[in-house]
Amino acid sequence: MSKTVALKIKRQDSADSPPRWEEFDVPWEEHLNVHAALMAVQRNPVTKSGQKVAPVVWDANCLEEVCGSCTMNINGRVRQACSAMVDSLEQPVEIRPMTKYPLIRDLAVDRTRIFNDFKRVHAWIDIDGTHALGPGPKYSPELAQTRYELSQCMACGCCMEACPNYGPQSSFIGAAPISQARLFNLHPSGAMHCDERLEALMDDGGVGGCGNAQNCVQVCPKEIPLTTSLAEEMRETQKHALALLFKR
Amino acid sequence: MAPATSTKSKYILRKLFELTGFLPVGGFLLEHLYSNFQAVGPGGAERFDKVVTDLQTNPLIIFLEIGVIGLPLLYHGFYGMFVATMASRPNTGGYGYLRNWTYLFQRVTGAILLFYIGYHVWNTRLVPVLHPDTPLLQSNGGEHYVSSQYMHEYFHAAHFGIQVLWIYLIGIACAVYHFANGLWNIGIHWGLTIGPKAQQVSGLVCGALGATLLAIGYASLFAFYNMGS
Ligand code: SF4
Ligand code: SF4
Ligand code: FES
Repeated sequence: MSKTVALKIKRQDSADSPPRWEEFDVPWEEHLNVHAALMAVQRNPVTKSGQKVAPVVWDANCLEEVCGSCTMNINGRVRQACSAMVDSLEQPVEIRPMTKYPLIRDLAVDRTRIFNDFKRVHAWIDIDGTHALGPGPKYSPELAQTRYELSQCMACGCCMEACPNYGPQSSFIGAAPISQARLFNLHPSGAMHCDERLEALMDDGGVGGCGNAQNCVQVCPKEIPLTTSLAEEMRETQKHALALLFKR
Repeated sequence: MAPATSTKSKYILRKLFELTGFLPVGGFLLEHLYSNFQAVGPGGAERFDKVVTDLQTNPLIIFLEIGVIGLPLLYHGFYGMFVATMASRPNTGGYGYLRNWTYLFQRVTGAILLFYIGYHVWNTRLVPVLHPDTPLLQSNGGEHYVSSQYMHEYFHAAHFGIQVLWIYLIGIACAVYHFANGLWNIGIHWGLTIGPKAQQVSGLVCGALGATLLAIGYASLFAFYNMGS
């Protein structure tokens, strides 16, 4: 008998239908990742006990850990299915959807909240105008390096899923949007909207919502220095608040 | 773009929470541990009784107790309950990192302290005022305060089926932990310790401070407990 991989998947037909667990055995292949294992289930959606079921639903896009869409809980830890190599995982591989976002079906969740929170902190640079704006300002290679690290965020939500202060019960926006505020405030053109970002971070759900559990920095697949970003933005918001207080 | 006033006022409420934990409440914890430590060593009973009388006959004491200790403490406690509502179910099972545990303990000790401090204030501050005929109190000009004898008996008594000594062993540990770990958190929230290295060092410093304060608190506790034996 050829080698197989055991999967245990938490399934749910819709947000308000009851969850259930289903087990599958899929053929082992060299360099098999969880995404490919889920594709094998899709090709042959028959459970371990021989029952034919609806194929498992999940999100995926880039298949190289840069889009973040395949984020899910694998063996109790939030990560990307496309970069989770089956050979490095204990079996049966237990797969659950993310818990902090509204469920769509099976492993697919609605992460709109992340994008709304990115908008809330003005996570972009305004360069549109009716006339040529000329070349952008120059900045140092060191700053470029710092910004490069932060710019790798793919809004996957790992840092939020692992954060004990984030979830439907809390207004906290989580580490990624706060780190993005820092990314754009560090840019000389982006800094023109610095106050707007800082004031978003001072509002309900901003930096005050962080409880320093620091899971975010542990789970970020891009190894973004999130706790440094958090502390930097705590300092910047405080400076801004003191300026508001004493300069008026 | 003018920010909404509510943004600023919410931010100020949060900063006030951090500040009250640090200065009035944290500062008082230090003073309190210091005063109680007077009970340690030969002559401790008399020294402690005198410290209590000196503090309680201070003409400013009622303003200090209400304005500098009571109100900030209540504020910190109430805001802390709001902070606790942000937390999801503990996830230390899947993410058993040190900082996730210290985060969880900060909330657990905070919740315990709400009860412990209420209990402690009742028995050592309000009972002498409301029930001045309680035995072993010391008095001065018609006012009644606790004495080292009172504390001695108290720690040997049992409340809620638990020996009071144990209630204090737990309460003191929670208070000291909440303060020391709170300091570590404040270092980050006030933008003082930003990088991982700085936060590691401040973690060690706060840990050492917490251990020292715990030793001081326990030494005083056992000084009362073993008094006269
Ligand atoms: S430090 Fe902790 S509380 Fe703050 S964002 Fe990270 S995981 Fe959440
Ligand atoms: S900061 Fe890291 S973990 Fe968080 S959303 Fe971005 S890439 Fe994902
Ligand atoms: S599919 Fe893009 S990160 Fe996995």
